[in-house]
Amino acid sequence: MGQPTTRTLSVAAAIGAGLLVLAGCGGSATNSSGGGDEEITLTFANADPAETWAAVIEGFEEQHPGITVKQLNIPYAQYTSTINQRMGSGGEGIDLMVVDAGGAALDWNNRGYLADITDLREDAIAAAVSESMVTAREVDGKLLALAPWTTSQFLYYNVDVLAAAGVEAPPSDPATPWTYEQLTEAARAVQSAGAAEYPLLFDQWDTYYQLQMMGVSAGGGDGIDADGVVDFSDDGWQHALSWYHGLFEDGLSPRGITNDKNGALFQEGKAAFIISGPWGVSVANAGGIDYGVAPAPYFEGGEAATSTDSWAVGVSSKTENLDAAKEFLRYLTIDPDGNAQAAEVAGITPTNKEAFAAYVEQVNASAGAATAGFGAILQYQLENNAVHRPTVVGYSVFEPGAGQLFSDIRNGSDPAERAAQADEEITAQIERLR
Amino acid sequence: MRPATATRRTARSTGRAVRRTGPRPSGSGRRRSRTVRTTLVAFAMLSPALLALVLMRVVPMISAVNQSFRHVSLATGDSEFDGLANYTHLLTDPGFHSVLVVTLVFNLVLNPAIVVLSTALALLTAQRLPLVGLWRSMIFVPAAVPGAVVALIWSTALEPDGLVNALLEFVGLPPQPFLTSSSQAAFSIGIMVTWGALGYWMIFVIAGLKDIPDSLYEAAALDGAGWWRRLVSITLPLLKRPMAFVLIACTVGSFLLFAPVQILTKGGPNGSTNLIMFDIYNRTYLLGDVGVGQAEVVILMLLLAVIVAVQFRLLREEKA
Repeated sequence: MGQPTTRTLSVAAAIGAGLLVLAGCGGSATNSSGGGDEEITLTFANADPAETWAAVIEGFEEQHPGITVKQLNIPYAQYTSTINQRMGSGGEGIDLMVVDAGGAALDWNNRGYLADITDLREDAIAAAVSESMVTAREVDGKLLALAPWTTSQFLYYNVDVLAAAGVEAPPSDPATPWTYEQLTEAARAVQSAGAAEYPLLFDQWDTYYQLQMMGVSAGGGDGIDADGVVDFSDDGWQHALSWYHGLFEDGLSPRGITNDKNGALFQEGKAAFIISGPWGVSVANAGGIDYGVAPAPYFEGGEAATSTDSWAVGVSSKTENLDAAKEFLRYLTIDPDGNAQAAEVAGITPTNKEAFAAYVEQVNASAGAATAGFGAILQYQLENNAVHRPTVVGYSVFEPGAGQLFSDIRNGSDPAERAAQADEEITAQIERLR
Repeated sequence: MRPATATRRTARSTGRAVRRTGPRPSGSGRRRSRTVRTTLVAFAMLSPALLALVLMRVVPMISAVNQSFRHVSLATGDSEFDGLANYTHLLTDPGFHSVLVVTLVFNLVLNPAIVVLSTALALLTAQRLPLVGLWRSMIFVPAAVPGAVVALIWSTALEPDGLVNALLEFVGLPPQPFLTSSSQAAFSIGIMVTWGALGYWMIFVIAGLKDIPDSLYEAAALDGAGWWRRLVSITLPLLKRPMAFVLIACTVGSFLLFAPVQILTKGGPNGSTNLIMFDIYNRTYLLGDVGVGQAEVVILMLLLAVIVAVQFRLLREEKA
């Protein structure tokens, strides 16, 4: 080969190397606006696909021509560690970020990542469906994040399956839900009548979000205290966990089914009951089954409790565009139109009263009699018995540990022995990481 | 593993070429400057690969080693030098001992099984069978399916009321709990990994089979050797090298197994499928224990280094 070819190749190689270096450094090159009074760019870190937030960003940008919102979409599994790393090394280029329910607000407050947004508190409480969905994100009297979305839990049932088993449907009055004992009895009747393959499903097996309300209802509290001491061995949690264990031992609920399949099984008419969130309505509607919605059950002798919350959004303490960032947060939560847009794509419940009313009206009308009582149940539960995930140091360790505990109990581990092991291991791990 | 072997071979042959040109009496300065220029060009052309190597391998490795000596506080986010504390914690943690036992037992059972089965399939499809190309393709197809998809397919098949139990019941056997039982979960994951990997490794053994000269078989046939004798005295000894490669590369792959555990069992039931890669992910990302997670990465690197050393040794013996 001639010399020019070699030279060309080496030049190409050098260019390639240069591009690689640029690619290596390019990822961190985010900007925020300079000192000028126009053209602000906000970077909003979240753990969703970009389209989830696209509608609300578009709406906001239309109303605020000087502000552009850029998304930083981080995969859920790496979200917390990425934020820890980015904020820990200066936090440049992040103005707002989603904050998970539970201990995330506390952890990030301790690390100094979140700006104090208490000045939005009054307006936020006035606009929100319930006060607790705002105050749940307070730490040491400081408001750190606002939630555009919320959730609750419902007992969905298949009308035809219950009729075939001769079981009366649960009442839709949110003040008088079934007990878990009544639910178990009904599921047994479905099982002995052979009316459905799966008498009882949960939308999210083995997750703390799904099971927290059962522990709380049975009197076991959150399972973790403010000092990070874990206790799944107390009577309340043992009652709830033994009940959970029994469902699988008795074949009322299936082992080995992953969470992505539960909604579909109910939708296809293969289950009598499923305990699921507000999204259960659209899942059930898509199946063409005759179904009904009832409030989530509670344990006999215990209190009514329903899991709640979802992502909130906080402002970075390192942002150079504090006012613009707060303006965006205000639009996401306090502004009814903005809040409706924020919840629209995700198909999730908005937190703003007006947006909530419009959402409820739409869901209530979506499936005739089946969903007519949905809004009343949702509102009652959010106002009266919603349980927020505990804001404690070590929550990030506690939640996956609890998930492993529930999963093992589902697969047959003894609830008392496995809970004792989890108490010891998770407490020690939290202590170690303090 | 595979790229590393290729690089070593290239390096060896390049070294020989340099040595050959080196001692030659230098005729003129022009020739020397041409050598210098060739070297520079070589460096320039290698630079993208070298840069990628540094940015994507060396830097993360140094960062892992550095972080394995540090402790990050969950409460404050402060990171401080913590000496060998992460290693001490890990090495005295019964949870980690069980991870090591699960990982080692899993590998000791799985990898020899894959080598034996892929060799058997290679030998089978090397026979004059009708439609042999079709059989080979069918065995290879699962290798082209991403690990996550393989896991999802098998998760449906292995459900308590899934396809596999339906087949078992059809032939009169009792249904099995598979992934929901601590005594069967690792075995079930082993089966799905084997299903996905066999075809891939079989190709390497087939390549080894093609390298064996026909003349050896002809000579053996003249001496009256039967099929079995030819297999034991010619085929298997000459397949030792590809089989050793398959064993080692497959072991490295199995040590790094993550997707099926993450998708199907999350390390459970009761830690029975908590293989080392999932444990690293769990400690680093779920528990937020970055220091210990990175210490575990370092231990995994050392373990794999030992395995690579064994590979060198096996291949060297083969040459001698």
